[in-house]
Amino acid sequence: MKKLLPLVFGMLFGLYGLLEFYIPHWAVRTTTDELQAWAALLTAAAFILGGVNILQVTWPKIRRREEDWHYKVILLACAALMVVVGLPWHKLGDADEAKLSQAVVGGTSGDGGRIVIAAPDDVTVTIGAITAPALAGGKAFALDLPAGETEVVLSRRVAGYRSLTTKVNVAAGQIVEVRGDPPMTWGRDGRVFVWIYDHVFDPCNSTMFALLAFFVASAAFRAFRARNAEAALLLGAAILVMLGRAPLGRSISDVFPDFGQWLIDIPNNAGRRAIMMGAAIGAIATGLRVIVGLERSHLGSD
Amino acid sequence: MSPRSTRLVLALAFVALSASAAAAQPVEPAANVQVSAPDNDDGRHVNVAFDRAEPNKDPKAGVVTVLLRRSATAGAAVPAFGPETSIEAKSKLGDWTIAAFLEGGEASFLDEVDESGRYVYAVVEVRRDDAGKVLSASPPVLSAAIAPNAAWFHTKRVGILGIVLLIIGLIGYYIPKARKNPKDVYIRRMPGVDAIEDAVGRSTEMGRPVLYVTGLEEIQDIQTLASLLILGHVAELTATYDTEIKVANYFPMTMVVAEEIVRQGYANAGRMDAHRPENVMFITAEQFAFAAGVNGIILRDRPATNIYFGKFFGESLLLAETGFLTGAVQIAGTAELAQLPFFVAACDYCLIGEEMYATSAYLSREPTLLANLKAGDGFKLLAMIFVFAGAVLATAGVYQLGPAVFP
Repeated sequence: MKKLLPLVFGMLFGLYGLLEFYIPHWAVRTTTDELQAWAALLTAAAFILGGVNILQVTWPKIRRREEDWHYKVILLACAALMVVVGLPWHKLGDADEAKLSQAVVGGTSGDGGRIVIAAPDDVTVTIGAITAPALAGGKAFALDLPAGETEVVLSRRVAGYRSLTTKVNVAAGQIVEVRGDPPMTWGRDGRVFVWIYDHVFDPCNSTMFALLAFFVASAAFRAFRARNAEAALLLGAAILVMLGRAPLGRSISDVFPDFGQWLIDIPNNAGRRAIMMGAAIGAIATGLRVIVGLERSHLGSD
Repeated sequence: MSPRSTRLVLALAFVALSASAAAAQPVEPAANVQVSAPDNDDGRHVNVAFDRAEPNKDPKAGVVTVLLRRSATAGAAVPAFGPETSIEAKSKLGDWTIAAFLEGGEASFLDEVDESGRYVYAVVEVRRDDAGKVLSASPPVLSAAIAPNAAWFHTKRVGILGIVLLIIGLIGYYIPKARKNPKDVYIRRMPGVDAIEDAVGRSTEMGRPVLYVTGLEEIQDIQTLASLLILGHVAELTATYDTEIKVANYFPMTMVVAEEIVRQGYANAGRMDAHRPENVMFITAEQFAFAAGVNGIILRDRPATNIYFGKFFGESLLLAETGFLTGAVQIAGTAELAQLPFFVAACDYCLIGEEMYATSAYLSREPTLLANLKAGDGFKLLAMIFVFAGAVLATAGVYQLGPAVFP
């Protein structure tokens, strides 16, 4: 049973996946969408297991003070921090109405009215088609407009803040002050999470990516050596393609860019397609042998 | 009246006349409204096509097409379009729903509908002002009633089904042959796979672990599956040789399956006591953070053998070069064309594409799996013949055969 059940499940769902590619009927599509939703749930649940695994692997190393244990402390601390700032704490807070208010503060002459904004200087105001900073050069934003109802939106330029929207009814000759401060949000789109991602994670990611340039140079230095005929061919092709791509090659002769492109379009493409076809056939064969139960090495020996 | 005042009055009169002329100008209706159920459809689409009048096709005319839909059982006429009529998609006008609002001059639309319904469509050409208000509308042109058609077989995929059935047929042909004479099934040597056992032995002698990386894709990817199948054999080898194996995973689901496979490998070797579940690790699901984590394992634990099987991306060279720096024997296998050159340059052995898929069968030497390999090789031979024949036909200018087989 321990081997039979996984085999049966594998065969059933594998055959379904194989057949549903050829059956466009909505009943099959609906079932497929449902199965994919189940798979997404399983994947999400697996991330909890992943978090537990990180703790199980890391904590004993910290306890035993193994090599580089302090990096493990930083790892766990950062993970905990991101969990805390990734929770939507703002949903536990006050309603938006408490952060946005409006009041008639004076009068003006004419048939229309005026809206005056009282907000910090990093807040942007949008009234109809007009967008402007709430405070510029020490002066609060003010707009004369016809009497009637108008929508006012206060938002911040940086990510991680919720925008505030209100409808302001300006009577003729009125000056209405709208006071507001868009609140910071938490969670995945919150200010702290986005700031840490932009200012900590992204630079670290870019640093690792940048290391590739040096590793490519070191790998090329080792690989492009004419030890035998094939290696000499590889070296020659690499030189010709690099000359074709660099401005230096074109300044020497127009033949280099054309020949380099020919090398990429014809012989290289032929090899790529051969590998792709072989890999595709291998993938079909592998998939079929898992689906029909020929491959059982992952289930254990008899 | 001064000349300036006269000019102003004339200008105002011209503008007023133009506006009223535009408002009063009738809009020509569409013609020949055809509805059909698309081929190979899931039963939730209807195609509506029509001919627009020539004057309406001019972008300066400001005429847009509104497509309305109602159930065939309701018999209401199309309501009149007034200045306040909302012509946004999904708006309701009595029994009618606006299915589409076409302002790019399109003459057809694929509508999404309920699979059990039967529908009638109406096409109305509408002239709007700059503010989007309706100035005038053409009389509606109705279509016949139509129900969507759900297909049970995708006729354009019959070629692909043929290929799959052919491979299944070849597997069925080779399995009895392989079972009868397993020694007659010739598989060429793959130095990279042969080197796995030597590399594990080297790790044992040096007292250092084996590092296995399962790639950067989810478990449903075929390359990850192939990698996990090979992991079972490698885990059994390391258990037999009493060597530690560390498995680095990019997704937690892969980690869960890998842990079970490693456990099974140790059980097969009768060394459950040596199995350490904490050695099968989830690193992270971010690409370069994963590379940093695995590099940390390589530089800290100094594995004597690094095995990279699965789908890799830009981090492949980061992993392989770091492994090279520590003097490890490196065996890689991937079907990612863009990463193969990096692995070939930086690793001692590299399995290219189908070789990775064949490794599990090569290691186990089971007749049924070898028959599967032979079936794949048999199909490759057929593919070579077809490619050659296609090249000859294309050189002779014959192009009709391909689309006939693969529409």
